[in-house]
Amino acid sequence: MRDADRTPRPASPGTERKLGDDSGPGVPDVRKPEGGNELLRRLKKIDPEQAQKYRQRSGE
Amino acid sequence: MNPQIAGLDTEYGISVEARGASSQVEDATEFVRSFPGRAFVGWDYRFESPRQDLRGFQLDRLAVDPLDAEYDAGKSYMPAADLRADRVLENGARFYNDHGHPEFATPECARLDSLVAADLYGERVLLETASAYSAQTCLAVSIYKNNTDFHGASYGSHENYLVDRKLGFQTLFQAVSPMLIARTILCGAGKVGAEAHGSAVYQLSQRADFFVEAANAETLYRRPIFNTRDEPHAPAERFGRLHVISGDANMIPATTARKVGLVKIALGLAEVGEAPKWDFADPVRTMRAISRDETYDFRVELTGRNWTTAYEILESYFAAAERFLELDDELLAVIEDSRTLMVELRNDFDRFARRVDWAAKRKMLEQIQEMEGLSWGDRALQSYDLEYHNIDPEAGLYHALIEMDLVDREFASVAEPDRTRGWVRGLATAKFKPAIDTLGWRAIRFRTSEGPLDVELRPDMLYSAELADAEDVGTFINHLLEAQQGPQS
Repeated sequence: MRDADRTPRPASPGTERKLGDDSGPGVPDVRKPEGGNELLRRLKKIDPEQAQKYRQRSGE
Repeated sequence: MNPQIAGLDTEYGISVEARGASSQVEDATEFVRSFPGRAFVGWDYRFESPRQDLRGFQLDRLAVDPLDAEYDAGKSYMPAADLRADRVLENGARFYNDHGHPEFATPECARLDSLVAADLYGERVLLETASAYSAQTCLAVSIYKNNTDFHGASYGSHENYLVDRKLGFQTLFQAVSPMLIARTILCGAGKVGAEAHGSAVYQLSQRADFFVEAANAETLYRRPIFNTRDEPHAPAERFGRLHVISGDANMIPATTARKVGLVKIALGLAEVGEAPKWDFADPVRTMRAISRDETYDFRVELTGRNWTTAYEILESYFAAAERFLELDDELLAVIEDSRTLMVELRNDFDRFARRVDWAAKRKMLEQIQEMEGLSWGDRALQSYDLEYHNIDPEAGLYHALIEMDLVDREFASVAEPDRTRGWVRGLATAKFKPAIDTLGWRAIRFRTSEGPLDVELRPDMLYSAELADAEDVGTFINHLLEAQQGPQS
């Protein structure tokens, strides 16, 4: 696709860019599966702020 | 049913150390150029027509995202072909930079298992390229097979289906749209929170927030559930290409296969004029509501104040398919698997979560909440959501679930690829690269002693295995020309 195929449009009021409205109910009923250590090991290496820093251009 | 040819193209998220969205286009170009494998460079853009609409008109322009326009303000990019850095790989795939995302487009495949194998091969291509890119630049890079940055920027995982031109917009729209919406319950990749249209705790779909119309030709902005781009990459008088943009990128191979198989069922029914008829009161609102439905009832409002459910819609396709179609082993398995999953979704969520991304990730996030003392309102969950899609087997959380045997990773291995025109493209790349001038979805332009020779590839057939035995380019070209004259499917 060529750049000439596209033109900017004004932002739609329905698609405002705010970090997710992610409030919700409390912790749900969970059952701890076996082998949790591997998940825990990897979690320790993840920056909890990673998603806030992660910005992408829109794709198709 | 004739072979249903399909392909997947996935735009990957890319995160480069100390870089950001404002430099993403240049970074993606350099990333693709770092691909360490053998490839042909010289993509043929002649047949691209993204502004042509299936409804019989052409748009003057396509919209761009306003924030992306801000990133580009005052910038001057290199020529488009250089920026895109197209590589044709030896399996017939296309690997390139699309709007700042490394995109892997599989070769065209007839079978679901071949398509899934090609999609998984794409993950390996991205991993190898990431390793080469990091070695060259000394910058860490993470690659995500997902569809959102949680700030309102979405990127696609598209499906492409070769269809008969005679079907037309109305038939395709009516036959496929209900399936695209209903299949979300079995194919979504899941997402923490919402990026538009109010709040949500956890959604089934990564993409549902971004659809604002039932049908149009846009892909970057004001996206539709049913995309009307009419760019067949084949002779337009006979063929069309259904370009599906409403699905999510899937990590679980069985979910990828199911996503495509369900649309193949809808297309098969469209071809015989027996697709179930569902008139949604508001398709966009319905897709959004299904994605956010925490009750798993998945109620769908129809016109005339009637109601149904996503379960009933899917079952209506399965019943019609069993009655009117000659189903192959793969589509029979898709139906059986989908029916089992619909029961498990309501009665055995742990089993359901082994084979559906949104459920596997939800279960994982619930476990993380328990381990880390978090709640759904904690923003860190979006980081763990993102890392589910990290394709690095040593770092990604989906891959942790595989190691923990919490998801079904296994998918039938493929002995040999389908001999579609994608296979031909790969053969040409592997064996006769010096003789190729340009190469695209639709044709190969060879250099011959008599000048350039365009050879059109048949989009609808499986080529003879003997083509692989051609030892010289002349014999190869002759085989392709003979195939052009073969019977129409």
